[in-house]
Amino acid sequence: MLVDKLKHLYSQDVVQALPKNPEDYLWIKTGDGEPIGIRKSRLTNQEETLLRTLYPGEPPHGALDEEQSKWSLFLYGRKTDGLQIEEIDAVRFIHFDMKEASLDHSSFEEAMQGAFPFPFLTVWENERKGVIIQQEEADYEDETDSIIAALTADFYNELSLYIGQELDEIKSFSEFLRQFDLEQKWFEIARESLPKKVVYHHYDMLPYVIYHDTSAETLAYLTGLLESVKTEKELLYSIKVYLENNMNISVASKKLFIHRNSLQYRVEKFIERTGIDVKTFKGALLVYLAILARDMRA
Amino acid sequence: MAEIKLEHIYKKYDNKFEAVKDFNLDIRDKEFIVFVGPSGCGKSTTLRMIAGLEDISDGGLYIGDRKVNDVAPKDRDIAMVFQNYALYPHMNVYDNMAFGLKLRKFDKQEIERRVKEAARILGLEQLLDRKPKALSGGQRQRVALGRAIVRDPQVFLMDEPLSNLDAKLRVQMRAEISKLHQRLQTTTIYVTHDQTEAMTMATRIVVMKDGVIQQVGSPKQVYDTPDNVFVGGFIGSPAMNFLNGQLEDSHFKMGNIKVKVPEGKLKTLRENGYANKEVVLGIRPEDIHDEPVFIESSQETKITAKIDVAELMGAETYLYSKVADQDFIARVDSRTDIQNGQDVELAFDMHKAHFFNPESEERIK
Repeated sequence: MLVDKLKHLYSQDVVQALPKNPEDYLWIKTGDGEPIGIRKSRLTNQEETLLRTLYPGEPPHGALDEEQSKWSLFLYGRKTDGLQIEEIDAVRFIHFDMKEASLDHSSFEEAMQGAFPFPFLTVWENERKGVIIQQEEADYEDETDSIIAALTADFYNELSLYIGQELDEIKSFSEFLRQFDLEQKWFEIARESLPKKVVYHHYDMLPYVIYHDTSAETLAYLTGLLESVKTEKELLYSIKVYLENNMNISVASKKLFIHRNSLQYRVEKFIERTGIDVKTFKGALLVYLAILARDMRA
Repeated sequence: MAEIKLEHIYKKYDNKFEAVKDFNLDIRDKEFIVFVGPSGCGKSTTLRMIAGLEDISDGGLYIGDRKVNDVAPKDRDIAMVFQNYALYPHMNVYDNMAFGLKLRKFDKQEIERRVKEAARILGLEQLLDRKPKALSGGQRQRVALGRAIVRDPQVFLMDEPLSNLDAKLRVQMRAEISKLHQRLQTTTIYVTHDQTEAMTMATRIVVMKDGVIQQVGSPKQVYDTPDNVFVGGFIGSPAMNFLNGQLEDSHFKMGNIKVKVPEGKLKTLRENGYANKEVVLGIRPEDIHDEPVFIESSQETKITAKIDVAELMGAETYLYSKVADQDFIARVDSRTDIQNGQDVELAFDMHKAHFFNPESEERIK
């Protein structure tokens, strides 16, 4: 990718988010529409002309206010200039990623003002991705699907959100960055593992992260557990729905549009065939990971 | 004018999974088309390809005369309504409806004109200052519809817009959307898994399964002449009964029970080489009768069945029973008082029955 090649050539002098002094950078645009800044002082006149001609571009949209600039520099530039740890006003990171890059950032931010009930800062990593820094605790989780649908309908651009963990206990810059990086990684895993979902919560992600980080040997062990039922798609799907509904036969059977006795029968059949008691916590955990491993391999 | 043509449309994912296969459909201007099928059948994926939210792997999509495969979603002149209310929770109703127009740089007066007109049509005039939280579910979905209407698009795309509402409200909103379509006459493509919504709202239904169109037709065509076992079973509630048996002389035989097949149907079956062969009989619950007059005149299609469960639904009663060890349901008038465990005489209206090939599951015609 162009950005990797440029980073290889100019290392620290390549930026993707708006720095404090954007005028010191030559701004070019990649094929994906992502703006990249290269510090002008590193470029010869000839290199600058060539890059400008081949990849004409502009700095990322929207003038950043002082606070946004500080956060942008901190999260994407790893510099704490101007930020005081005791003044940090952040209760959560909400990471976002859009399918297309062609979005007007200021309209998007205006839409977000109407979407969330708390004050926040938006910090863009590039034309598609960024993070909303939630600055006050508020209850909004049951509204996220509605918000996503509204944004899709207005911008014709699909958005995914990763709602991170509370940041209350974080007391140092390095802890902030560790948390931020972990969430970014988990967001990637989430989108890879559950591409049809658009809102991800940190607390739902652990099974997928475990799968992602598990060795081939362990995965083979997990999928091997289901050997005796491996061709029975409907049975496995029923068991997955049963587990995802807290092993509640009534709720799960409603979701499966089947009679509760049918589900009860399937659960018993699964136990008999695999020898794993899926009605116990340990059995359920094992089977859930095994089904996940099987689904992810498919 | 908004005719939509889908020609040999495919959706293939990187893992080689084909979500939609060879989808062909001509949607006429002003039509209300419903895509219906179980989850995972490809109906929403097709809708999303029309919207431009999913790339088309192969085939051509035309809106009017223009091929739009590579046209950006915002330039396709469509408006979408989703299952979730698609509202900004902290904007009032007016701003929610106006926001899309503001994005498209409409001037303030035009925005106001359009929002007020849509609010009038949808009965939201008194609610323009309210935030979504202060609205009922039905009102919220009306605002979501309003957000689409103000755009005055060529096509509405609706993805299960009523599935978040309770049963009573769903019935009410169903009628409202139909009325809205009659009034605006905008070409509409509506996705649902609910066959009742499909039957009551569509000018034409597209029944899908496993990414493949099973049948396209008016609600009556699809109900009365299903092309295959899947369509027969999916459209209609309770579902069509399917009974396995053989064609023997002029009868359909299930175990020891025989019912006479009418001449016309017999001729078709024989012409297609099904004499003395296995076939599947499809008969709708309402075509199994318990009225003495009908039974009297249908001695050759009469059976005696032990009723396992009689479900009183109000004006109708569903009778659950078995014939030759195969389950079936009859839908009869509730004036007959039938108890669980009772033996009753029932007769099949074989003129309304269908026969299907047991392997291909296609209707024999």
